[in-house]
Amino acid sequence: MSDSPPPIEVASLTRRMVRHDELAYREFHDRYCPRLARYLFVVTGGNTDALPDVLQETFRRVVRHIRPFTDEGVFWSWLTVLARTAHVDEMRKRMRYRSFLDRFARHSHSETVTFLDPDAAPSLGRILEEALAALDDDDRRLIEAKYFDGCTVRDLANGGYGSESAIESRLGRVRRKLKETLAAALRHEPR
Amino acid sequence: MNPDNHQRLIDALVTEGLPPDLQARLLAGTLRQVRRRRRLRHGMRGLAALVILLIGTAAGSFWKRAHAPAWHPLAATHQVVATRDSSPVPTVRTQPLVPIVHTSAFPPVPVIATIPRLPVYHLLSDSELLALAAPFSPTLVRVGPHQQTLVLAPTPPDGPSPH
Repeated sequence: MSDSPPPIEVASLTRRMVRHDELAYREFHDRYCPRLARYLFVVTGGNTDALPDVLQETFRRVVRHIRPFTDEGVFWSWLTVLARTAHVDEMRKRMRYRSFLDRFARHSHSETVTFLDPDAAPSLGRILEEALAALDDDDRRLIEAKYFDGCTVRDLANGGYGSESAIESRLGRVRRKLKETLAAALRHEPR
Repeated sequence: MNPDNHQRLIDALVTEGLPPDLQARLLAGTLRQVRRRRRLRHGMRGLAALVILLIGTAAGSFWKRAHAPAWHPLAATHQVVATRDSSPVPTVRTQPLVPIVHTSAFPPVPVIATIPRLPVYHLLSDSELLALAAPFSPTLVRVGPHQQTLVLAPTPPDGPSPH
């Protein structure tokens, strides 16, 4: 993880979180919300319908069970446990009539995804590259220009990709297509 | 491919279709939870302090009661006082006297003290008259309808005659 905070910062951050310091929680949110969202995206197999609720429940559990950590890896593992259990509980709430199957899935799921980290595992990157390779050349170039080269929509409009509104619309369509490809691949990915 | 580029694109894909203010709403919910937990913690601390205070007070009271000197009635070794029976004293109620104070100024005229007037004469009764005759033996002799004569004769040494 390239944006992993140094260990001493994690120790300080978690100590302040234990004292219910709001600034510490803002910092924690800025650092770990996107990472947890990516993790849950993989855990849910690309299904983002329940992502807001699961994320909120994860943060609620963080507030409730926070304790000091000195190692960032241990802290992140603890966060993934909270996220997984929050996801499982949310799914069980949504599919209560399948409680038995859900408990079974929870048991098997928790055993299989324990060590899955979307930032560390190469599977997501590989799936993304495959999905990008499957795009049309124009769409792939547009995406790479936007997200890899850091171009703004105005830059793209000046570069001959069309009007800004057309580029926004096209970017949204390509993102949805990529997301569906990723979700389908994650659902079939052995975990 | 740069991993940062991957992350940026994956973040965009993850949040695709989600509310744009999702992260702000999540943060607001988290901060609400933090404030609630903080209030709860402060409340629990206050409650714990109160419980500790009550326990300490109870323990102190118990210790004080346990270490207080026991009271034992002392047996009398010798008779130092005599037992007296007493009866209640009747209660006497008194009424305060009404003070009577007469005040007057000195009279403007001199006060003349008088003595009671002595009688000029005293009419003796028969018995008083006869008593004056002692030690003579008086004899009253009627000489007229309205006149009597008293005769005083000396009394013989052997006493008066029987008649």
